[in-house]
Amino acid sequence: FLLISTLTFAQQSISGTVIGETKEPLIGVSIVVKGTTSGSVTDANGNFTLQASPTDVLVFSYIGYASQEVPVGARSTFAITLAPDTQVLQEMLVVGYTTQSKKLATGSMSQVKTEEALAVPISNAGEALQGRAAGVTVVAGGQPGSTPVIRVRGFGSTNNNGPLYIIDGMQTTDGSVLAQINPNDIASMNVLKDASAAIYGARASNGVIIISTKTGKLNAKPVVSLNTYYGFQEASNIPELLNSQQLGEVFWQSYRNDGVTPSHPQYGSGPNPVVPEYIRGNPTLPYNALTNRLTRARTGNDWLDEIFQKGVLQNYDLSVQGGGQSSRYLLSLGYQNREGVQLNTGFERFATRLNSEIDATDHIRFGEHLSFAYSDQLAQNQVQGAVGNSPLIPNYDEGGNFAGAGPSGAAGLNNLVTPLANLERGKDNFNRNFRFIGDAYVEVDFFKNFVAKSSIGVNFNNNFAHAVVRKSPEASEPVTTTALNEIQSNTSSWVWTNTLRYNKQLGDHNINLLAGAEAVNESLRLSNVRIENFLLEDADYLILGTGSNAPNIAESRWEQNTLYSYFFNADYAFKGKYLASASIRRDKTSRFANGNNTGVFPSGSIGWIVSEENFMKGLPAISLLKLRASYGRLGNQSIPIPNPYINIYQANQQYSFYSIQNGTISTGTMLSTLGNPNLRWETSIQKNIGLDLGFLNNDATFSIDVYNKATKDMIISSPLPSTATDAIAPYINAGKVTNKGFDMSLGYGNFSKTASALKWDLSLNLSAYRNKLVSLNDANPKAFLSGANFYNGIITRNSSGQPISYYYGRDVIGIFQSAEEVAAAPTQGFASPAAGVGRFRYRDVDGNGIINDADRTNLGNPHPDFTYGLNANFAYKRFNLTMFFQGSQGNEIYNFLKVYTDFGTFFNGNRSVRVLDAWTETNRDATLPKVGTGVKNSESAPNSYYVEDGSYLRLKNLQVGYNFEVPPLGVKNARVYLQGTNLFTITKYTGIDPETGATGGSDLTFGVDAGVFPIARAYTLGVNFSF
Amino acid sequence: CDKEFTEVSPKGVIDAPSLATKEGVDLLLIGAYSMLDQQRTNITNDYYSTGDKFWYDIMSDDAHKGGDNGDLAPLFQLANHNYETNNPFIFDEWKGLYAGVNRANGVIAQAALVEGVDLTPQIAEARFLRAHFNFNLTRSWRNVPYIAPEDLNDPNKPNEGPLWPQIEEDFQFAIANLPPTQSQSGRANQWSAKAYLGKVYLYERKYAEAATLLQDVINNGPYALLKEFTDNFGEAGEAKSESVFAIQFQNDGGQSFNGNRSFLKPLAGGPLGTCCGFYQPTQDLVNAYQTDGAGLPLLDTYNQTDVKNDQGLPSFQADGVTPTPFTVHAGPLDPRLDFTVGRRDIDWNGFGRFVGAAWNRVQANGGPYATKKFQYTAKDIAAQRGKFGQFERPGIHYQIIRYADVLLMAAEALVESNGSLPTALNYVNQVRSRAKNSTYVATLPGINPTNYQIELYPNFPDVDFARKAVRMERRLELATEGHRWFDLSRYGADYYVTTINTFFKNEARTIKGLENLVSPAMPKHVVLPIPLSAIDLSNNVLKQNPEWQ
Repeated sequence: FLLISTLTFAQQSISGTVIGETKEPLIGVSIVVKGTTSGSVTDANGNFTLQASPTDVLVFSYIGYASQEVPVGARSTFAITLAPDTQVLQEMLVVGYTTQSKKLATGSMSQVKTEEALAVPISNAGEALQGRAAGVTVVAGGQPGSTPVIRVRGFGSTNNNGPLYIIDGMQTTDGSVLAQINPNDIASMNVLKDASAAIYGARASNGVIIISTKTGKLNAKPVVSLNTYYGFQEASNIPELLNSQQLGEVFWQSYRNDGVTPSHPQYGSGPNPVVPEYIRGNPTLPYNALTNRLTRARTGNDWLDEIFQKGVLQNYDLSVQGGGQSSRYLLSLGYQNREGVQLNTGFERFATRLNSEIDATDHIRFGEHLSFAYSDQLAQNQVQGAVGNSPLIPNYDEGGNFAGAGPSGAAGLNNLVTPLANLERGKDNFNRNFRFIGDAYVEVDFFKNFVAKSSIGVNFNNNFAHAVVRKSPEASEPVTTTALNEIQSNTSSWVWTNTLRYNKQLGDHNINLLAGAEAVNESLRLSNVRIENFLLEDADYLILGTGSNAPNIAESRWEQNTLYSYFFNADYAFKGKYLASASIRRDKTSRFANGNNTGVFPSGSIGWIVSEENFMKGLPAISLLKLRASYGRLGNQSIPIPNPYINIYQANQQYSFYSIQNGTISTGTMLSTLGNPNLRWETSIQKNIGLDLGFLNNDATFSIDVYNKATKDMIISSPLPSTATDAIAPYINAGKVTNKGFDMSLGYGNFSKTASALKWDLSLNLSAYRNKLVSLNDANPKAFLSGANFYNGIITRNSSGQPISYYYGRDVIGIFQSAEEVAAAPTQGFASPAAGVGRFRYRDVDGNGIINDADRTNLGNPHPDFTYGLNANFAYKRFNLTMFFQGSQGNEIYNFLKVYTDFGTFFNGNRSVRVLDAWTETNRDATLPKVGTGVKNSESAPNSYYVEDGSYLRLKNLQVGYNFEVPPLGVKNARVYLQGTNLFTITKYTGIDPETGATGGSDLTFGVDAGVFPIARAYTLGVNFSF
Repeated sequence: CDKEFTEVSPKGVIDAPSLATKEGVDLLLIGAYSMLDQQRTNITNDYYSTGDKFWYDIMSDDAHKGGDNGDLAPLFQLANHNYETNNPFIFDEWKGLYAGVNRANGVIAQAALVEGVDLTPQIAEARFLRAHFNFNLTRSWRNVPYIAPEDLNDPNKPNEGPLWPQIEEDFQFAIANLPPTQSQSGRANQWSAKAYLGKVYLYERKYAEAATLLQDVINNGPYALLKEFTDNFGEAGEAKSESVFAIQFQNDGGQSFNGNRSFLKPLAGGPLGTCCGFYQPTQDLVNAYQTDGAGLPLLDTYNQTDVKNDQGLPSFQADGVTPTPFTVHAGPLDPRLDFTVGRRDIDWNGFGRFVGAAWNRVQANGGPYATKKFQYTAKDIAAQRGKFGQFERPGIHYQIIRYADVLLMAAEALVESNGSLPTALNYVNQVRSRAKNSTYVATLPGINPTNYQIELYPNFPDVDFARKAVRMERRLELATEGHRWFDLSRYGADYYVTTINTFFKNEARTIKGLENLVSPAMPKHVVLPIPLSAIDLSNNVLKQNPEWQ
């Protein structure tokens, strides 16, 4: 038959040129004879030749352009113009286990415009979501290499709110994996926000982020790309602290306020404080490191200034992609090095990737995504130490050693080791990850409409952290022996997925079916060994074996969990405008006891593309009108311990061994984790209604989704009552949380004005949610959960009817101005009315005339009214300009550092310049109460003074670029750009950075700022080439 | 396939069924003993939860916090009596003790699951430990909740009063079921249970019962005073005749997890370059060691004059070369002063001359003294030193009850119950006699010798005198061993308030400006406030002590 057909339709040689809309030749355009694998690609001048017969149809396709089909007919030369594919809504989306046309999708999803997002010099793929994916809240970290906090549609739980990540054929709930992905390898990011995630069942209720990496195209000649940038970053918005003289004056005022004759070990006993010449040592004798560490006072050491530096940023990515007749590939190499804005912090990553797919026969394809990354993070943060350290202390003493108060040296200087010394001593520490992630698959087409796929994904990570505690002879509490901690951990996870797909167009009916089975196995082994007493402190000498003392196993863990699932999905479209989709998944997990470990998670959604109806044809301005609705049940099983259903005992050197016989140590055991045999999945019912609109040929687009996400059986590890055993609290199912909100995006560009020299577009997205803990415990409506315990107590509370992690404390309603006012006010426990003058006045919440612990109340919460991102692109000829603003409105931050900087909690520590506005007889309109030698009137305990408006608007990115070509080198596509990141921030927040996450790592303590590593302002110059 | 695949056995840990044996119960019992040091996860700092009660001494007239005033501010507030309900020391102490109660309960609950083996001795030890923890809760906070073995999963109980009946019942059970001696020195036995119950009776003011029981221990028990006073705080006296019940701290070559983690106490710098120099004896305590011409304490007048000190003087050879002159106190002193307190020019634990200010963290704040008990001695340094970073974790046993304490408690019980004053006198004199006959701290070359004078009381003329003498003797003998604050508070609120406020006033002669930093002691201070975070975590099931509302 083949022979006959060749004979019947003789092939002829045809040729042609492919150009773009601005008449430029397009290189590497794929031309395929429809229904065959034969074809060609355009050369550097856009020309092509191939063999075809008159009955053939040629398919021209090119990345970013709409495909064109051209019948050959009698012609032998062709002049083809490809139009850019501006029909964003025609995109294909990677959804659960398959792809789907965006136009026919009925779920609520957010896609990141990766070409835009990845043009910013980001380090972690998670940062690409910030302000660019409606419904996704991202709090980035300033520490190089840190993992941003990502939340999809609010806080579904008080436990673990992280999404599930699908990276090609691998899946994980461990967000830290993003640190080892080269963002430049990413082709698409799609966030499943509603019931469309239900195909991932038991792990989907916090949303699913699907990341697909790039690959080549069939019959495409190799394209080599080199992307580089170089720049620097610096800290901005550094809070102001007192200098030495100002601090002395605050001391003098404190003493006078307390009725004490001023006298301070450093500032003397005179009528005014005098900054000493020396803070330590005898200046009449020579410097001696042991007996006379002579140290000059500084007129004001601004430690925040000392710990920051300009950090160099560099990034080099080299990739080649292309494809032959039966294979396509991408090979990439990336190197990134970022110095942090604090001294001796940084992140370095080397990543390489090989993605390829091979058509072994017409019906069998093999493929793989392989990524190997090595990264090294040097994480340190001395913000808290820098704001508290005395400004009198210089960096170095007269002998050139680090300065400090010494064990019995200088009084009046507090007990902190200087932040500079801490950062220097940690400079050889490292935290290395060797991560291999990837998947391999085989796909078989059979019986025309069926595709079977089997895929194995793996995530192997070897983490090696090395931390040295060095001697600190200058310190008031000196470290006298060197200690070394080494942590090694090994993650090895795999997922095996088998799916069967069926696609069929039957007249007006389009049917897509998917069935699958999946097994997930995750395991971790970790050991943390500490050893003390080393002969030398040289970094080259310090390995565990050179320590003199016996080693201690500070921690060792082995964890394993598994998940086994079946799933089914059906997508149906009638006449391309009536859409329906349903899915169901059954999961069985090792995390719960038998009887509670099987769950079924169904979902369904419908859509109607109204603009396809005849009655809409009379409204040509409306190019798209689509209505969507979805409903589904999703689960969450993220628990940081592997066997939460049983009580676990441990033999623990530290907490359960005892010397029962004098001279020896005996092994003992302790209950280390309380189990809950009744634990089951947390489930959420998610409802979503969406509307997509396109006007003017989709130059203007608008999309809105309104949702209600109700979580029940919330998995909580609530802090145990203080009278409980010292085991880790059990995980329990309790309470209901709702998140109601909307995600909206709006875009406009002159896409259809193809002739216009100036191209521009604007897009805005906005996300809002209202989080409410509906009930915590039906049996006890007054029940509440406390967040982490801080220096002066618990700051956050979680109770029925309130949002998660609201701030709880006394409400400051003013400062007492007179003894009469104190006497007339509810009793605050002052020794006399006069003693209350100049002190905070608290609101008598319970109205009983006494101010005490019962007068604490809700002081605000960290949940924003809305977050937003605004992107603007302008292109004129070869120039382009991109601006990206991002912000958060209406969230409150608990500025915990004020405990140290605004009150005399550590009297000899430094203070914020805010204390210059403390109350005195002559400064009655003050923001702070009278300064004093100690904390009075519970003023450092949680109260409303610490709660600040955390709203901000930040210019995240400003980029100016120029495109050019270098014909002699064959470079057709070159680009140079200048970029500024985080150039300015508008905020009323007085802390170092309003972009603050969850201190202590728990969502129960979200919004408390205990000295975050600030986000840097960066300037980079980038050059990209491809040929 | 999914059935086996999703059954993953726990890794690297022990599950409850594996412990349902005698061996399992024994392991849990060691775990319960391990809580004697009150070290558990989820406390703010190791030294906030104190097996050896050191920070209670800082609340008393025996010790200053020391260090920079702003350093460890919550401890400074305890010392100065201006602490509030959110003080983290108070919360961590509470949590440490309840961990102990629950560990002991865990032994009792697990023993009930083991069939066919008599585990009564293990249960008796666990109940002894539980009584120890409940006793410490009750004597600190008075109104505390009782947590039973079956409350493991629901430990949120109201605090309706002291736990005296439950404490007594546990000790009675221990007395009835423990052997008179144990092969392992750290274990509770019948006699230690009797001594402890005697102590409980004393706190309950059941003086007659206390006298009977404590005299039984004295007359029939296995205990005796050590020949040398200082051996109680060194290797030589560990697990010996004077040790009734102790926390057997043990150093090791690594992080000394089983050493004493209240690491604030060692000298600042000093001969061993240690950290951190907090917990300094007061001038008031030093003054108490003054004796009259007959070698007896100045019961009412000891604080009228100060024992000479070097407060404000430069250290001996402050520049490393030139000696600074200082003349030690010439008046008569009880030799126990120099077994207890490190002071200028006297040998410090065998390391030579105490040089003064250079061995004090911040002399202006904490005074010129250092403790000696529970600090390393030169001869024990190899055997007892343990370290973790800059912090010391010594392997020096802490005596929860030592025999001298038993004698003095018996004397007190006799005095307060109108018992035999001659017997009380005899007990007090046994303690004084041992002190008198111990080897005194040798005077260093070139230093004026100290005039040590200590004699036995000839008689107790009346109950009032006897009470004063016994109380003074407790202070002199047991200073800096974690008893003083409890003694002051059980002597009564008036006694407490007067003593502390007088101390604040007198001590300001040495610590300049002290009067401006302290708040007056008030009757509420004889009991600690229920920690605010404990009330919060209980969802207000716990009620604040009435004094603190």
